[in-house]
Amino acid sequence: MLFNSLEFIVFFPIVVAAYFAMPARFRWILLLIASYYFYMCWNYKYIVLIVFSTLVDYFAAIQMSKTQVKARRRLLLFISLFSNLGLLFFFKYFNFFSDNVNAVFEQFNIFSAVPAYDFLLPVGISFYTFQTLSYTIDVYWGKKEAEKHLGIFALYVSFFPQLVAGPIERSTRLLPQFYKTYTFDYKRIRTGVVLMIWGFFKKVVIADRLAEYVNMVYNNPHDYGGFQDLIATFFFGSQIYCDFSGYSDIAIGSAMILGYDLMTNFKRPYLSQNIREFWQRWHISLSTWFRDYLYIPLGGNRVVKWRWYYNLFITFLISGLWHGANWTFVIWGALHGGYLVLAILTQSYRDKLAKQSGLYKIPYLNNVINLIWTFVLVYFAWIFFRANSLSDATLIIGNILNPQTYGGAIQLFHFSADFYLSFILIGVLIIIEVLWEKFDLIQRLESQSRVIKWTLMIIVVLSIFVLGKWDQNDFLYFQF
Amino acid sequence: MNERLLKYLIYIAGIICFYAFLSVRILPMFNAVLVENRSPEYFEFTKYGEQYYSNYIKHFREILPYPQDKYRLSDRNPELEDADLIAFGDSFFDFSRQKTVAERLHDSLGIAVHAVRAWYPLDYLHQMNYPRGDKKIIIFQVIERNLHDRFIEPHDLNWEGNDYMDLNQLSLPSRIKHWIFDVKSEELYSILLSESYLTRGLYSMIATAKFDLFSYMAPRTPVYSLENRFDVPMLFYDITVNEMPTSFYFDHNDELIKTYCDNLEDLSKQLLDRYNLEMIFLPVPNKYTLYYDVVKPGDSYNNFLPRFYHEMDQRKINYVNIYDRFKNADTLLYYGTDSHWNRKAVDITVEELLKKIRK
Repeated sequence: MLFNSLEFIVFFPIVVAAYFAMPARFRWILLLIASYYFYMCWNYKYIVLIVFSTLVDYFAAIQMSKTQVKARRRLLLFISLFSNLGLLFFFKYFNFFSDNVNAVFEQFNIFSAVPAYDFLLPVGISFYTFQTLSYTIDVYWGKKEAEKHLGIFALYVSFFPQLVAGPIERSTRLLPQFYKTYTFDYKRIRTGVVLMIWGFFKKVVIADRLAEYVNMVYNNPHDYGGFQDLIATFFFGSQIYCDFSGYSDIAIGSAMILGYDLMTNFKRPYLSQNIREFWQRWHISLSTWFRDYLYIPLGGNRVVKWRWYYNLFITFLISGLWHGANWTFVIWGALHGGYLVLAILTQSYRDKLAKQSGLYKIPYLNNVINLIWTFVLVYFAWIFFRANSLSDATLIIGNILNPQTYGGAIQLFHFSADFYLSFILIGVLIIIEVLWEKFDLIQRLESQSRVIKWTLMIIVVLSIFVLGKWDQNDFLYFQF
Repeated sequence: MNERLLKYLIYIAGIICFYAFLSVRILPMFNAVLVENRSPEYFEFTKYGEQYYSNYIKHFREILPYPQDKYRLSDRNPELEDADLIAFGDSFFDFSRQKTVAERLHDSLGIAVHAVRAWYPLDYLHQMNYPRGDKKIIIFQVIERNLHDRFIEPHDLNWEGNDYMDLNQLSLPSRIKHWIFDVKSEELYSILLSESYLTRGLYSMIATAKFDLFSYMAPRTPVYSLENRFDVPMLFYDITVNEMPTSFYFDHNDELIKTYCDNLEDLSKQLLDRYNLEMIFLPVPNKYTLYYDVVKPGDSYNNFLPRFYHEMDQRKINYVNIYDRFKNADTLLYYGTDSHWNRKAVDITVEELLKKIRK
């Protein structure tokens, strides 16, 4: 089920009304049924994978908590890791692996050495496997007690607001919340509704509008020149942000209405001063997951320098692969890893340059330059993220860097009211993001008079209906 | 006060949504809240042309004539075996806004004309256990946009196109699964949103505003004309203007046309050999084929139908050419906001069919 579907718009009020109408002790049953239904609406057969993952991790953790024998605990952790990563590998990466192995064998005239399978990638598999993995690892490390209640644990794995595209929650945060009793709280529900509306606005008004241009150019890169490529890349950066942060807002808002507090996933990432900060603001639940369960166990920065660079780079390389089974994602991850390593290596030179040029004395200008530079680096990497293949990505970069491809090509672009509106909407988004950076907009909105609040709300809701693209576009992160 | 109000609002929303959830699974509940009832042949009973219901933009409301009682469903439609002539076709042959072709032929010729709405004649005759008997005529009508689909493969007795699912034959778990998950709920919710008493006005207002402000048109009817020589708003289906084989712009090359005619010739032979039925083939032009110049005056037709006729002439396939008369008619032969033809088009078609039958 997609958030931007009528199916969800019908489903959610039923769940909320039933949730508050029933006794608190039965609510987990309602939420579990609703969550499984939510997932099965996409493909009912694949619920088996969630149930399998749930059962393996539940029993692995229970057994782990019963023993102090290190080897046995390690074996149980291995079973959990093997099962979850095995599922992920089989459904998400096997064909990628098989294509690449076959390509190597073909050099030696051996064809179809490894078979390929034609199956659907289970929606959200990268999210729920990571969420449940974090639980078993936490139990193994002794950070978390094993959850005894199978139903509550199943709900933790499948909680519908964040099941298919995060935020990837931690058991230490989310599991205890399922034991609390939430009363009907007007203020909390109102804030949740506002967040959901803002999420819908970003998704159906901005992201899906920009997607039309982005898809047109990126799916036919040979038909367009540097100018169109540049605009499409600029649009894509905004599209993916609005798409994914819009999803997160709807997820956080809907959970908030039910009483649950999901972690913040985006904090205005395009206002970052450097790549490190970008990753503290972009897809926070994933970047902290990789930090806690990969980067730090690898040694983090408490190792010799070359090993630190290696840890950083490998973490981002794997993060790239997590996003998709394609070399374009691997390059995207490698670029971000490379940016971070380069930033560390050049830190002292850049500081020296800023001091010598006097930029340090004008912090505002310094910040603007840093912001633009970070923006350029991030958008450059997005080209690989969005391109359908590496050759498409190099073609697009070549066009953007070659001014000769700009001439005359402008006429090919479809300049419609919708196209200009896209720029206006990005402008509106930037203003809102900058204001939100300065103060909590929702708090500020709540302190306004009723007339202002309702007028603003009606404008946003009306624009969702009038300007929204309700043609059932998947959320981009569903494919990951 | 606010808290209590919000709580009641949530409960009311929950009840309304629960009704919606059930109604997309239970037809009487669904129809109970719709301005215009849904049924399998719903579009033949709507107030406006069917294409209006793809976008709900008020500028494209064209009131269609009130539907006639269907000849096919009436007592006058004889049993297949008792018929002197079989009129076999798609929704064009069965369109109830005027007397259907079968009824007109029945009235003009005074013979028993059996009307069938289906796609594959061999399959139909086989399913009906039609015996080979005296020689009869079968008129086989196909709309231009479906010619590719109907004739890209040979016809046989077990065409998968007629593979209907009978829910009653499913096991109980399968039926429950079907009831819960297999319902086309998104499509049906969208009908509820656009068609229910509660939302239809607002929905149409928003659709019209989107069109006025941003020329936003539903993907199903992307090509339109508000002002034209016929003084009627016109809409055209995406499948007739995209790149698919159903479209005006698809390149039906000579090889493809030969394939269609091979299969058509084979069908004609099988009908004669198996059932002693002489086929008269009637391809009906797409609305866009006749009126593309209204919206895209610079475009030109690739003469798919004339080339198809030419190939049929070469093979001596018995067919009726209505395209030439339709093209030269000075009045509109199709409804502006419905993909089907009007009474004048049926007049011409019946005239041409009578000429052919009387030969």
